[in-house]
Amino acid sequence: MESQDSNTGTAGTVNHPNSNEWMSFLYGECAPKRRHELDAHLTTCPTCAAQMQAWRGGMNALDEWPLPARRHARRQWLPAVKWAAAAAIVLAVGIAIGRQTSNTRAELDALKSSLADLTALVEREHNLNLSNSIAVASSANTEALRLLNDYAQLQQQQRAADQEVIRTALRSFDLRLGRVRSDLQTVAVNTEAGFELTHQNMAQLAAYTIPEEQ
Amino acid sequence: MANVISALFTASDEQLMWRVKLQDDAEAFASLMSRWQRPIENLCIRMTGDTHRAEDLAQSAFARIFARRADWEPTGKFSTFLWRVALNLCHDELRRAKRRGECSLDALDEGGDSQPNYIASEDPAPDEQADRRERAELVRDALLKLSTHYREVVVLRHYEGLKFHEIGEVLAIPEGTVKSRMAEALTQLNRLLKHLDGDTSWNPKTQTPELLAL
Repeated sequence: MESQDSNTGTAGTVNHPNSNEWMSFLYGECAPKRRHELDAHLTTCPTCAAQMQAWRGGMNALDEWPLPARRHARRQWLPAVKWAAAAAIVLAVGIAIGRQTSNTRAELDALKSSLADLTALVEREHNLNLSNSIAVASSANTEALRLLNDYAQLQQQQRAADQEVIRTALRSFDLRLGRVRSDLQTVAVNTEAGFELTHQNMAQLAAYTIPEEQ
Repeated sequence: MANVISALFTASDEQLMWRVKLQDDAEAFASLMSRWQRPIENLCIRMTGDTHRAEDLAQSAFARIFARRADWEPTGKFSTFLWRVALNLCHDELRRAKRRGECSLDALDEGGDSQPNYIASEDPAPDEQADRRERAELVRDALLKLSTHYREVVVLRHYEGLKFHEIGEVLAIPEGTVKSRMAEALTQLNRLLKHLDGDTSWNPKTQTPELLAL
């Protein structure tokens, strides 16, 4: 798509948007006005239309790999909701039947009593499920924290071991440096003695005179 | 409206991470994990092509973040930090697999436990399920055939829905480079999978020399 790397064209040349603009267009990230212009360009430019078709082909293909299905923990409050729904249905039926048949004081009391029983039942079920959920979540949290702490501890141990290795290497380096320094001092002393001897020899040589022949 | 109200009372990722950093708040970290575990696992699946390995990688990403909680500074979004850690782990894993001489495609084609299960909406007929599965595997294989710097852009933009500028922040590259990589990745995918579009009777064993050569 080399021909489309220009946003500005001169009179008589086709003004192709570049690939970056088309990417924003394809993924809905360009401004509405620009989108409208690009839409219009596509209807008149077969080169860009062909390129877009190729890119859309790639995008459509990607959609053929759906998200993997994974198991999820069932929501713990779901049974409570079911109980509540069941209770509501029973109550609704009871009230409807009561209205149809009789509305005596005794039946109303019985209905109220059933309502209280059902409410208590739903409450108990809900509390039980809630406490189970909390216990499960708490235990999972504790386990996760324990694992994370183990991991952190392991990392620290690894770091300490690395530091120890570095310290040993540094000590060894120091020792070698000391030896090299000592060798250098010896060489310097020897060199100085050598210089001294040479100096003396040169002085003797300078002072030397050839004895006159008698 | 309900979303706005719930957003007002929901702690942001950065607030939760601050609580983890300063108080070792397990509850805050659990909230972060519940928000991000699924997207991070999905990222790892798309990057490595292996569901089980992806679960381990996602756990490692969270463990690494917890271990380094003291070093975390809120200079950017928490999610950018998390995506980056997860992607680095994916890169390490891919390098290790390459060193071991593993071919991820071969590993996936063995079937059994490492095979992801694909969502089958409304229980289609067995032959249709098989066809979908086959197409999904071809797309996955084509995606794994892309270079990692193309694949990560495709996964973050197409599957995880990050904006191009957000991907630039995660990968620390200019937005224009992200778009260029996306365009090139889509071109390559279209070339690898051009027979997939609209041809359900296509036989991959005879018509995908590029993929079968893997």
